[in-house]
Amino acid sequence: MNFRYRFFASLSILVVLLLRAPSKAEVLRMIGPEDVGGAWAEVIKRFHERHPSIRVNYISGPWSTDERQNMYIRSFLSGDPVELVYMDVTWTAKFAAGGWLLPLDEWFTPEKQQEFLPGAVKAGYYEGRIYRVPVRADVGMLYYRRDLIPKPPRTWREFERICQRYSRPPDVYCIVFQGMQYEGLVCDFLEYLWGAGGEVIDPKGRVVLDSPQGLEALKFMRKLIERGWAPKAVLSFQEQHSLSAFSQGKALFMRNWPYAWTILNRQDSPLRGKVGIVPFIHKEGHESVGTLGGWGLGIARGVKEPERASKFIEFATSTEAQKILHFRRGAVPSRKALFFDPDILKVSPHYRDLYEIVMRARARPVHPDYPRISDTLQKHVSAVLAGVEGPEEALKIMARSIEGTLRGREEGYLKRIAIDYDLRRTLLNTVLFTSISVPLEFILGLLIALLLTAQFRGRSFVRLAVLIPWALPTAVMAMSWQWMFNNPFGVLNDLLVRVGLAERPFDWLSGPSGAMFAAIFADLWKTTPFVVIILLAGLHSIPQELKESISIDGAGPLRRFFHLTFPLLLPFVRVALIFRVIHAAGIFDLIWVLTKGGPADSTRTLCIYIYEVAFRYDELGYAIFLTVLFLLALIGMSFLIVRLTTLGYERT
Amino acid sequence: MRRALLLPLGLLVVIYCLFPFFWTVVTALKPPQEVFSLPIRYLPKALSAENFVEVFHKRPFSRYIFNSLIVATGGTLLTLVLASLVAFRLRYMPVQRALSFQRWLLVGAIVPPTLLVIPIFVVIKALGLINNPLGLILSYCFLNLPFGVWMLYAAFSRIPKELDEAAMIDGFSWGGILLRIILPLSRAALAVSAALIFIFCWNEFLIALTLMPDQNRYTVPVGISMLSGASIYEIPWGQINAAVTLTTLPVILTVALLERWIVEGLTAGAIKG
Amino acid sequence: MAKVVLEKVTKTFMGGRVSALKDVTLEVPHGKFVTVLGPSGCGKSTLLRLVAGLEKPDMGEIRIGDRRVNDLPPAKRNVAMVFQNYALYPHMRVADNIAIGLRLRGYSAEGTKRKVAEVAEMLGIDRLLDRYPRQLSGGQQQRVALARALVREPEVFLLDEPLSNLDAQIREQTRSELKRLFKELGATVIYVTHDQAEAMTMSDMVVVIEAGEVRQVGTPELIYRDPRHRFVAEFVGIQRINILEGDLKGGDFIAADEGLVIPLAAFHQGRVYLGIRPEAIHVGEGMGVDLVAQVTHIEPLGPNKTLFVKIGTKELKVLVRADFEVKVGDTLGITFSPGDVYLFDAETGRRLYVR
Repeated sequence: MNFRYRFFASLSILVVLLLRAPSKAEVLRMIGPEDVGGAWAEVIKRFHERHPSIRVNYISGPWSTDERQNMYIRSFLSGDPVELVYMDVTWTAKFAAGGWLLPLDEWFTPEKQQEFLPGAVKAGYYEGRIYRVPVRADVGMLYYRRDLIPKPPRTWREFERICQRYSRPPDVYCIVFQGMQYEGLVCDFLEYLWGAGGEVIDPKGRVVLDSPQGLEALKFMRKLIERGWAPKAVLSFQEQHSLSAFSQGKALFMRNWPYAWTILNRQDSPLRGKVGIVPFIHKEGHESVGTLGGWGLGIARGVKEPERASKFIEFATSTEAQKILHFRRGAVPSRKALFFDPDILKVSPHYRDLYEIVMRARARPVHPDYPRISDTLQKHVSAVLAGVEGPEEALKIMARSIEGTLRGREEGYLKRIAIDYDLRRTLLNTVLFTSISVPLEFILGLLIALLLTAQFRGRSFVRLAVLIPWALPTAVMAMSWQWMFNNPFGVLNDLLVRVGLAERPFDWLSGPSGAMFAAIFADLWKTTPFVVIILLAGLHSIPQELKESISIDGAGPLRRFFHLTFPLLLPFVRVALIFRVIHAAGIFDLIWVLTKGGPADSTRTLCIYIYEVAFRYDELGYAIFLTVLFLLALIGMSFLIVRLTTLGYERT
Repeated sequence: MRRALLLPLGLLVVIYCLFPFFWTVVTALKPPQEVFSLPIRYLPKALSAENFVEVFHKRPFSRYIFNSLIVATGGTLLTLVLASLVAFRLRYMPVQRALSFQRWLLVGAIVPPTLLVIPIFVVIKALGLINNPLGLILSYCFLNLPFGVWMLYAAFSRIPKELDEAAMIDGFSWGGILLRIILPLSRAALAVSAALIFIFCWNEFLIALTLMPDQNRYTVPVGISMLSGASIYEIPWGQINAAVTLTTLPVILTVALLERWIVEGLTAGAIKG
Repeated sequence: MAKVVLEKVTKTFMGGRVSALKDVTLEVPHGKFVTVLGPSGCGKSTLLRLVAGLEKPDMGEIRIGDRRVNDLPPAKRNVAMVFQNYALYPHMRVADNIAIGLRLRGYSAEGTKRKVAEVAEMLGIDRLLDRYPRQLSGGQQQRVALARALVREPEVFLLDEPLSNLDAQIREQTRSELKRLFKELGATVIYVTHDQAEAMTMSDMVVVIEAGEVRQVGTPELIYRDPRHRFVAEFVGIQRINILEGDLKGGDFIAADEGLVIPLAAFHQGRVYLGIRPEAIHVGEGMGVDLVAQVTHIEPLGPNKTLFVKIGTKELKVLVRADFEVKVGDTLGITFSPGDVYLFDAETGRRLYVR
């Protein structure tokens, strides 16, 4: 027996040692979106031919740029950084400030920089040093149906007139754009803001968002939805959704990036040849400004032999590679010369015009805390679009929030809690969610438990079925719920319409109340079984004799419940209540996957907020502070629950 | 209660509980085009395994399953081993102390993983175990230990101490008593605990998301949540539902097989609680 | 107080597979204390529950007073029940436990309070009114259960083995208290027990049940003196009755293996069981039947002694005084009166009056 112990002990130590040493791959990794058209595959293939000793691996990540940013940040924080940092224009400041990037000044010299679009290059600078080589540029533009609109609008007023004349909702809307709460919304918003002469931060560093121009921009955007010129569904649109709607002929205009042009003019596209582009509309008396977008490559700090990475970057930003990306993917090059390249002009003659637009594109505010600024903008602009917030209020809050962010992390945590607007909103959501979800679960759970105490055929099957929702993975089922709440393909809408409870399908996940309802419904489905099991145990624990006695004493089933069943059930209710309240207050998985906290932050609960503070805004200290407070609150809550549910007889 | 009402009520409950799963499977079995056809069909016109095939194609889904298996199995084993030792030790303590010890453990169990994610992350990173299945296994063990101790202690206490004494007289060592006598007699509780812990590890999302940023190390729930556009036009709902089906099927089978014991186990715990 | 009548009541369980009561007809006169006596599983508890309304009969009628109550729920039958395990509501204080029946029926608050105080005093638990059941001893709990029943002033009291959970000493004391109490109240009581001593000492009437069938109904003396069924004879008695299996031939009882012959002058032929109580057998001769036996075993029993004696191949028990001098191996003459002999039909168990 001794031998066996020693054998197992040494085996486990061996296993631990083996597992503990992850083999550091000599592969250079980069994360990007789905490689449609195989553009990157081709680039990487050619690179491998030329440099067989350097291996590059392209990791396909989600479409959402925010998600991919999170992935990069997580990799940096974990100590195993992804070597090639494929970054959006807005990430540079944060990544550089976090010390996660290697400066590239040594080989990406000013001479070399000349070959690229100045705006794109500038976006790779932080505090005087360059960290990013632009791979592709992007600028927001207005697409329009050339076959339907004779003369495209340049100003807001012209645009409104065309909308009034030509759009016929709900079959054909005037415009579709990116209205979901994500980075794309900020790009859209800024185009209206700048086009009205407004600004977020002035050159001196002051926040000037709360201005008449800002108000006009917001009001105009809101008007688009109110008047029905843009469908309410834009609240859940990202680029691919607006493109999808536009290409199906559901709108006359679309705000999107240049890549859409290539797709819309493919052989099999129904809109081939019918689409035109112009700079985005501006307010009368001001200028059109497109938001600069685009992607570039940087090198993560801590990479062994960074020269190998720089070799790849040089290739990936070469003329050859950019042409591949353009032809296969519709990517707009970042090299100036390519806008006049004959091969490219043959296929995309509009690039000459595009050049002008791109050169005038403007970058978003550069600041290491940009993610937080962007979050604030996203939240409140989408709140205004959703009609949840008034434009004046939103502007005020945004300005104050950004001021707070810019002022930096100077405030102590205690003070911060008082001024943290997001925290307040989050708490409200959490309380709302918990106080609706938990009572409903208990009522439903009690009814089902009572049902299960009765004898009927198939009872054990019902009991089994009841157990299933609880056993299934929340995050995974949340995907299913997304699908079920989908509009128009969602089965729930279909059922409601069929049964007659609703005349038209409802956009559940686009609106704040719909999203909260969806979240509560999905949570209810999942957690009621738990309550059922505990209450069932409680019901079974009541001795049969007591029930008989009280019915002899004169109680019918209803009074029996109140005088006997419920009081004796309280200890079990207590257990279930504590578990459930704590779990509901700390809910994460479900909401993260279902709505990510949106739309307009209407489902952002406390734990999602804490998570974002820690892993997205990189403020571990504040996150821990909040966690501790939350824990204390939960403990206090538990005590309260115990107090309230303990009857006299248990106290003796 | 009128008997006639009970069966349809029960049916209603069953439909409510099983419908999402049913719909997921139906969607997964539809050929990709039919997934997006309107009006919605409740039973697929044609059955197709294409979604399932695509899932394994587009993403290293088999890798995810492999990762999940390693982590869940490892977590379950480690937890049960440690929980057995702790519960065994508790067996020899006076009952009151053992119960209050467990109550303290339970406090740890009640705290939602969301709050523990940050401390866990910090610790695991300090150990250098990010992106390493061992990091996740340790975390899961930590999270499930209270539950495991609870279940096993309840099972162990049902074994009369006289057996231990007889074994001691017969010449067993402590380890022997645990391995040869106590554990074999607690097979049912061990099986139920193993099943529930395995399910928990299999389903777990947040910690896996945080501790395994490397795409190759994703567990299944994280992998599924990252599934996105096959083409720029659409989110691959067909594939997503196929992936969900594959993930949830083993869980359902486990629960179906062990249903009665799961209910018993949780019930017993609730009464003690 | 009311009388209770069961008429041709049959009750089965498990879809007819298990039969609890077979065609039972019984009348409990008003104001009488009736004990239903029998071994476990004989159906006595079922009978009680049928009267309470906790079960419904498959066939037959149950009447309380003059009301047919078959279809009435327990709450409407105006009965009160004391359970074997007392069934006190753990989450209510003693006072509330007692009062609940009145509260549920809409009694006034002061009226209730008064009645509760009365009953509590009567049973000596008035100091316990504020406690919770778990703080009481078994005996105290039982009184509370009793108080709860008494305060309702029902038409019928139903008691389901209320003494079986008490310690032996308290049991006897409580036994007499209960009897006195119910006599004072003039209550109609149906009392269920398997303890024949309880039945004999407390009841006005005893109903002996075996396997769902009523074997005999009568006063305790009658049951004892004149059992109508072998089961009754075996069940009732200070000590277990002597039973011998055999045949009646030519007026004599011949034991099955011919080890013993008892002349009886009986005019019946056939297979019978013969019963004779140990206390009816005396040492000596001249009471009518004289036999010679050898002592095989002696068991002291307080003021008496039980002698196990052998005659031929059969063994009998004889009750003698403790100071009777005898030792194992002694040969004795024993005698008893043929009038004390009971003969039962071997097949039906019924008593044969054949002398």
